[in-house]
Amino acid sequence: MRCEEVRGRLDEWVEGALGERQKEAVAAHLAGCDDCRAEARELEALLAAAADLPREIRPPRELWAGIDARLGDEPSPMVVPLAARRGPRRAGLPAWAMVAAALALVVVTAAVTTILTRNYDEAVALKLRRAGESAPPTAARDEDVPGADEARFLAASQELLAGLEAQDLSPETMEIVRRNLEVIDAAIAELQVALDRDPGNGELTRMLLATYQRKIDLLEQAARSGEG
Amino acid sequence: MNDRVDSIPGGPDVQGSDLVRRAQGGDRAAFRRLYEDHVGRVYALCLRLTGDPEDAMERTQDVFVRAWGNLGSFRGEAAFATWLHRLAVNVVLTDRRSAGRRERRAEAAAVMSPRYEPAPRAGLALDLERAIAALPPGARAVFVLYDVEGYRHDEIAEMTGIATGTSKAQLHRARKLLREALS
Amino acid sequence: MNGQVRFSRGGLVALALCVLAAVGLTSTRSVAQGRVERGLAASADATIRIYNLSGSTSISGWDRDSVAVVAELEPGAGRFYMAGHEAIKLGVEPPTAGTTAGSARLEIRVPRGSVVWVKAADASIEVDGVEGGLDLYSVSGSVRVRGAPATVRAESMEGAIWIEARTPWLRAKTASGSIDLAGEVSDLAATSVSGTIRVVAARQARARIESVTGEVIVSGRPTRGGAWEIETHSGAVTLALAPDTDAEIDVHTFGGEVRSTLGRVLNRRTDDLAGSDWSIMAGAGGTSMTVRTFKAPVTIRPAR
Repeated sequence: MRCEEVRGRLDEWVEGALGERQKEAVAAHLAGCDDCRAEARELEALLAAAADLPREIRPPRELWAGIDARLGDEPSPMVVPLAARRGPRRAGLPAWAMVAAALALVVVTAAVTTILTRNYDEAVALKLRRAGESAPPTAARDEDVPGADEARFLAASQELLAGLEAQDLSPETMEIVRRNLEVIDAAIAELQVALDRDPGNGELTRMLLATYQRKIDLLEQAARSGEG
Repeated sequence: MNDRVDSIPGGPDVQGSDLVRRAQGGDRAAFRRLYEDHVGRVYALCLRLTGDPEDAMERTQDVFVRAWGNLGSFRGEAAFATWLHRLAVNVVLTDRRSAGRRERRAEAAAVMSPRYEPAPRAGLALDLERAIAALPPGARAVFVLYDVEGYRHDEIAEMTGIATGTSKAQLHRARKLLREALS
Repeated sequence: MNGQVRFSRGGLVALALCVLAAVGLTSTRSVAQGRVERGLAASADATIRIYNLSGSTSISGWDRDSVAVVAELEPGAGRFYMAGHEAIKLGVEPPTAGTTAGSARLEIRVPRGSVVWVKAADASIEVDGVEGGLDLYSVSGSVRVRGAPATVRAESMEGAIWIEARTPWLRAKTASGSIDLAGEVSDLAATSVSGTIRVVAARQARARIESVTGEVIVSGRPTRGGAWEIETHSGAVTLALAPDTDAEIDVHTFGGEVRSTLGRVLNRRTDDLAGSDWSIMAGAGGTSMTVRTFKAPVTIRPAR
């Protein structure tokens, strides 16, 4: 057997899928050919490594809330008897839409707080101005998103706003959300300053993302508190 | 080879089937337990099939939403893990056909997602994950399904709609590319 | 209403006594605009969804296939309702959706194996002796859990969460409320923005604690083989562990000060830009504890 032929059969060889005669022929060749033997070893190592890969990887973000919100509709909770209040529920977006919008929004802006406090136009104007500026090299910064995403940003902002209004959160809840968003945004600002000093620092990037995640969690929690 | 697909990490089967039964009856808490038990497996599969964490998270959510909707059709002949796993393959690969549309959406989301940085592990595993993510989609799907997940070529052909021969050829190509990438 | 059951006189008296004991016999506050006592047959593993926005909801498991409720409603609290068998909904429907002018106090007995879901605004939630899954949500009320539930998810934006339970799975989340966790929990995650998180380490196989500015305090003796991850932005982290704890503790901080008087410091590296990394070996190791902070002090010491 020639090297070329053997290499064409290595896939089956390492899986033990060759017939007896071919197996012997390949084995004989490998015994005398260092290159092909090395190739076979490499392949075996690859397959062993593939079989050893972890079966489970935790998603970097909590996904359940987004799933839960999309599962089949439940009857309105405050209703007894059940049939009595089949009328239209509050208009607006379901919670998952709000969360999706919030997610899109934190991607392009850190202005969620501003929007929550209803200075919506200001926030949009600010972001649109900044979107036109040149982007610093840091990963995971909102400025990375090209200016062409303005329309998407606007849409996302409006969805978020509409979502929150539809949730009909009490002023007390909004106040809690606002206070905690301030805490989170202060942390994000500090991390961004640190990242500007050390843009390649993966640990800082990870912390920044984890802090963004807190923000999304908080908005999700707020969304849940407004449901039902 | 398929026993790897069947094994359910993190829970005895009896408990699992009880959860499935309860979830089929509309019990969301039970379904959440199923989610907790299986999300690691589903996400790992979606991540390797898509090569992109943000996309994989979206697909993972789709899988569970779809699973909830289809629970009624789960008859319990196969293990729930197997059923869910196939559903996941279906969701990811079917969706890949319309990937173009989603790419633009994913691009914004990717900004805030860490680039695919698997948890720190031994060097080879880490490099392998990266190399898999960098494979062309067709080769990646076959490699993940065959060499990582343990499906047979005929099963892959059935799930993905390609010919068995194509599956074998893609596998050969994937293994070759991976060895090159890792050497 | 189908499946409604009448209580025996003795049962009612016992129940009333329980409620009175809980409410406090000396209370001079005029409660009950309305007092409602209701019972309903339920399956042993019923799913029970409970809504009570304002006041308190107290739930305990019992060994009967029924749900029993004593509700004390202030004026303006709304109307009490309950229906179902396998899936039961009960609670107080406010006069206008989402807001209440008065509070309600609910004392609820549920089959021990029930799956219980509770939603509150400023009402406190208390659960004891329920062995199914628990999903408990309050905005500003406190959440307390005791017993051995199958799973626990407890969330409050501003209220304190207090859990002492034996459960395989626990998720606790607050914004500014504090979280206190004790008991045997194999898979634990606690998250806050600014609230303090206190955890007594025991048999956790996995524990993840995350906060932005909230303080994190872990005490007790983590069981060998567990994996702990603790991360804060600026919330101080204290590990006050049993002196004979076996753990490898890795600390990474960008700007915080690290102090350790537990075990041996194996490695210590400080870099102006990258921050400092400490590796500490307590006892023979075997439990992995990782602490990451941006700028918070980290203290590792033997429990006093």
